[in-house]
Amino acid sequence: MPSRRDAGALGVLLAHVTLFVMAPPVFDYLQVSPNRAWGPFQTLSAWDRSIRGPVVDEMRPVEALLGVRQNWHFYTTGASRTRHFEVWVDGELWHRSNDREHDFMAGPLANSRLRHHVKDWVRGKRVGQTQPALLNLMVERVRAEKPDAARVELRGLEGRWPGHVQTIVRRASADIPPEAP
Amino acid sequence: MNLWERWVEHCFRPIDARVPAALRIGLGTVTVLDMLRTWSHGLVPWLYRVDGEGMARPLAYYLLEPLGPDGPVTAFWVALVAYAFVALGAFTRPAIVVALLASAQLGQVGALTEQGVDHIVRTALLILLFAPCDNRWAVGPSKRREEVPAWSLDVITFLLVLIYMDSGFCKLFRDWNAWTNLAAHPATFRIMADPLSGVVDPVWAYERQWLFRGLDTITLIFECGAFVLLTRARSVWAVMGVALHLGLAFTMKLGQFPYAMLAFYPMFFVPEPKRGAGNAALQQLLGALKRKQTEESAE
Repeated sequence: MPSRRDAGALGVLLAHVTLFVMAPPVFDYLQVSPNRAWGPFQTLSAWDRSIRGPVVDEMRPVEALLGVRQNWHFYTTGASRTRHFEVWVDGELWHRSNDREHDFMAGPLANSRLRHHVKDWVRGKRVGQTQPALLNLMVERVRAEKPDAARVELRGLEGRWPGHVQTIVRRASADIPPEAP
Repeated sequence: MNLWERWVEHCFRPIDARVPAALRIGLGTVTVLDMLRTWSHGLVPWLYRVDGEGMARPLAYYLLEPLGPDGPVTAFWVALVAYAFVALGAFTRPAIVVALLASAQLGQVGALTEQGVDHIVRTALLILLFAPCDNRWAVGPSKRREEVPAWSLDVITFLLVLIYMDSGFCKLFRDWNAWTNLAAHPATFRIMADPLSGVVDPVWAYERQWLFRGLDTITLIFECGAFVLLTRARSVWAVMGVALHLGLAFTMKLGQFPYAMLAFYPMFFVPEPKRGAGNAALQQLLGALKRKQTEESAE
């Protein structure tokens, strides 16, 4: 007769198996990027997609409901180019990424929840989603600091490492209407 | 003892109840502080409002629509309070359920606002939901116990091993050249000196790429060899992990990631009671010696 401890131990075993199925090292990544597989991994990756893929797909709603999706292929090879985000107010540089002399809003812009929006904007990803809100946020904060500011400009810059020479690859600006008296 | 009985014994071996309690407190506290930081930066409405004015764009499993555009902002505060209850150990199980559901919905509000570490914290809390983690260092009404079964920490350790190994192997698979080619810029250089996420001066670091080449090697060894965390040598490997996460905390702007990961590490440094027949015999011998001593002192 199985005891309560047996049932608990079975649950623990199932938890291990579930975690392994959701994110086995190597195959978790190859399922997302199958074109990266080489040699014998191509065959194994194809088997993985046809066997584990459907199982993991069935788990998606539960993963989303509990926010426990198991994808761990992060912090891979770093940025291919050096990039900066800049905020200019009335032609004056107020903020530049990782620059202590121009650190307006350095804390909020480095916040890990906002940082990815900024990074994507500089890289030209999801610009339509990010740019209006990012610009409005900057206008609001600039206005709080300098009520008579007339123009805010955001710039994204890119260059080869280590970044001695950079060019502007993204630009957005807003003219601030004077506040009603 | 057959294999199954050994597995059952292994799962239910007793550990100090303060270890899962420390993990619960660590994860809850780090998450609360991170959320408070986001609030103090005045970013909550900008990140979570879904009226088109903010940056949020709900994903497929967004369920807060009936609450209107401020629904995610409400969920943010609900999640924050729930995580605080988790950290305090007050009504721990209901608090974990509320924290999971509310913060998961925040993750559905926008993919960019969500971080990998949020998933790690929630998965660990989901495991702790089924385990006694508030028998010590809790303000709630839970029963006080000195020892609890070790299985929850075993599952969480397995989770961390999968995370590290997955991350390590994908570094090699994605672009092995970046990690092994001596002519390329070291990957850790490109990660830590990236002005958008790191605090290391790229020009300074560019002149010291040999340093980052060493960090590349250590990172790959630690991550691909993370299975050592499942063995008795885990404390040695965990020292590398602590150094890695402290390094990330000092050189990058990753929010709660390094601190939440460090919250897992106390469990790797707690010595486990020795198991097996030899240990049982030793305990019997020590017990007999103690009894004899007591009898002699009574005489």
